[in-house]
Amino acid sequence: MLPKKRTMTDAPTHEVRGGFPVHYHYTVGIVGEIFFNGLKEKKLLAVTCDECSKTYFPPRMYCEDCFVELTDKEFKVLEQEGTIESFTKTYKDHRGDPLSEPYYLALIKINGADTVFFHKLVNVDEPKIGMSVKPVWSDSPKASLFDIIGFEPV
Amino acid sequence: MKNRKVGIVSVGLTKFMRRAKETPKELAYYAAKTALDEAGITRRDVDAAIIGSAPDAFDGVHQKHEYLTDGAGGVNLPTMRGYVGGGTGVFSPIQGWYSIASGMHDVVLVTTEEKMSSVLPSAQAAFNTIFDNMIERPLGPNLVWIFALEMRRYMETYGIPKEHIAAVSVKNKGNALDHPSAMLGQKLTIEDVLNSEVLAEPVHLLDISPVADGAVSFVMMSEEKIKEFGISLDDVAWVEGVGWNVDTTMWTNRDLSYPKYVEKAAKQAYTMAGQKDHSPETLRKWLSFAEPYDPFNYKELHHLEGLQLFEKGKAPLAAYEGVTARDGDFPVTPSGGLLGVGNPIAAAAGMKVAEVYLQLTGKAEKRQIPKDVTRGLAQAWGDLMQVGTVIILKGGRVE
Ligand SMILES: [Zn+2]
Repeated sequence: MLPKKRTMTDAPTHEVRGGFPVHYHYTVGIVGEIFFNGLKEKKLLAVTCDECSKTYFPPRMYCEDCFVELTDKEFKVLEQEGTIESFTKTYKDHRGDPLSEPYYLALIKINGADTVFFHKLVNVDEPKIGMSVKPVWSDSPKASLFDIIGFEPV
Repeated sequence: MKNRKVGIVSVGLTKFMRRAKETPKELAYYAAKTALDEAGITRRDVDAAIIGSAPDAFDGVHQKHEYLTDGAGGVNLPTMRGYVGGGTGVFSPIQGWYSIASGMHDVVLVTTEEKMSSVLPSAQAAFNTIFDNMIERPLGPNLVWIFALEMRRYMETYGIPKEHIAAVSVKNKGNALDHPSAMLGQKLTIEDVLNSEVLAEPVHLLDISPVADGAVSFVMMSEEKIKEFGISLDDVAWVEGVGWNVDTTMWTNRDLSYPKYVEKAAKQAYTMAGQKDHSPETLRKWLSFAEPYDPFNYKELHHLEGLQLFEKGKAPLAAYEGVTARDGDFPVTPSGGLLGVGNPIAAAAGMKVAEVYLQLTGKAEKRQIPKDVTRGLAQAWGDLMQVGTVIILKGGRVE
C-alpha cells in the first residue's frame, strides 16, 4: 500500500521560493464593450436570442445553446430591479483572512433576464430569497463592474 | 476491432492578431461557428466537443477548458480538453479522430484557441514556470535561451551555415503573404534575417514566430455521417494516420541535434497509414507536402529530419535550394507557418492541420500548391521541447 522505503516526510528542510511572475490585461471583448459602456450610463443592457428567446444579462456575443451570434441584435435596457436567487454572508477573504466587516454576496435575477448576475448586497440586514433588490450606483461610473456598488432592497 | 473511417469535413479560422479585441471564448466562437457553417450543420448535430488550448497562463484563466466550453460549442455535450503544450493543436484533431474511430461519437467539433496578448510582461514570463523549480528556474530561463542552445547544437553537429536556416524564414514569411489569417507575411531576404536583432545567439528576431491571438476549428465526422449529411467527398480529408510521443522532461539530457520523439510519433502515424517504408525518398513521394511545426526557422528543418522526410542534417540545404518552396519538389509549410501566419500556440498548430485540409480539398486559394496533392502531414511539438504530434490526411477521393 505504501512505498517500502519510508522517505516521505511533512517537514521539508530546504525550500526554493518562487511564484508565477505574470499579470494580465484582459480584453473585455466584443459584448463586454457594450455591457461596460452601459454600466457607465447606469444602464443594465441585455440581449435576447431569437431562436430560444433566452435573455442574457450580462449580454453575450452568442447564444451558447443555439450557437447564433447576438451582437447584431438590438440590446435592450432592463428595468433596475431584480430578485435574490441565493445569497451568503462572507466572513473571510480569499486568503482565509478575517474580514473587518463581513458582507453579503448574492445571485440576482434582473427582471426580464433569464440568466443570473453575481454581485454584492448593501444596506440590508436580513436578505431573503425572492426579495426584490435594485442597484446602488456609483457617483462616478467608469465602465467597471463596480459602477454598481451593490444591490439593496427595493 | 477495426477503427472506423474518420474525415475532416470543414475548418474555420479567425485572423491571427497581435491583440484581438475578442475574449478567448469569443475567438473560439468565431472559429467554431465558421466550421459548423462551412460543414452545413448546426451545434444540434454535434455529438461531442474537443478543446485544445496551451498553458492556462497565457489567457490568464485557470482551467481554461471550462471557461472556453460555451465558445467552443461544448455546453451540455461530452466536452474534453487535451493538452500537450505546443503539440496540442495537432493532438486535438487526433482526439477527434479517436472519439469517432472508436465508435463513441459521429460528429465532433474540435476547437483550438490561444489568446497570448493577455499575459504581461510577456509570454516568456509565463514560460519561465515550465522549468524545474530547483535546478533551472533560479537562472531565469525562457524558451529563446533553450532554443538557442538547441539551435547551436544542431548547427554544430551537421555543420549547417546560418544562411540555410534563414532561408526558412524567407520562405515561410513569404508564403504567409497569401494567407488571409496571417499577421506577419513579409517579403524578406536572407540578409534581412541574418541582420535582424540578436535575441540570444544564434537566435535573431526574424528566426522566430510572433505570439498571437487566434482560434481554429474543425468538424470531424464518421464515414457514415458524411454519407448521411450528403457531404461531397471533394470537401473531405480522411485521417489516415496519427501518432504522438513524449520524451523525458530532462531536456538537457536529450540529443539536441535530433528529435527522436518526433521520429517515434511519425513512424507510428506512417505505420498506421500503411506506409512501412520510412526512407526519405519514399516518404517524399508518398506525401505530397508537409506542414511541420516552425516556431523557429531551424525547428522546421529539425522536424523534417525527425519526420524522416530528409536525412539527418540534410533539410537545411534543401530549404536553401528551394526544394521546400510552395512550387518546389517537396513543398513544406505552404501556409506560411507559425513564422508568417503567427503563433497562437494551440491555434497555430490547428492552422497547420487546417492547411493540410485546405490543400487536399483544393481550397487553399492563392496558396494552392501548383501540382496534384493527394496526401499531407501536419506535425506539432511542445511541452518542454519533448512532445511530437503527427497527423496524416489524404484527399476525400484518394484510395
Ligand atoms: Zn438561443
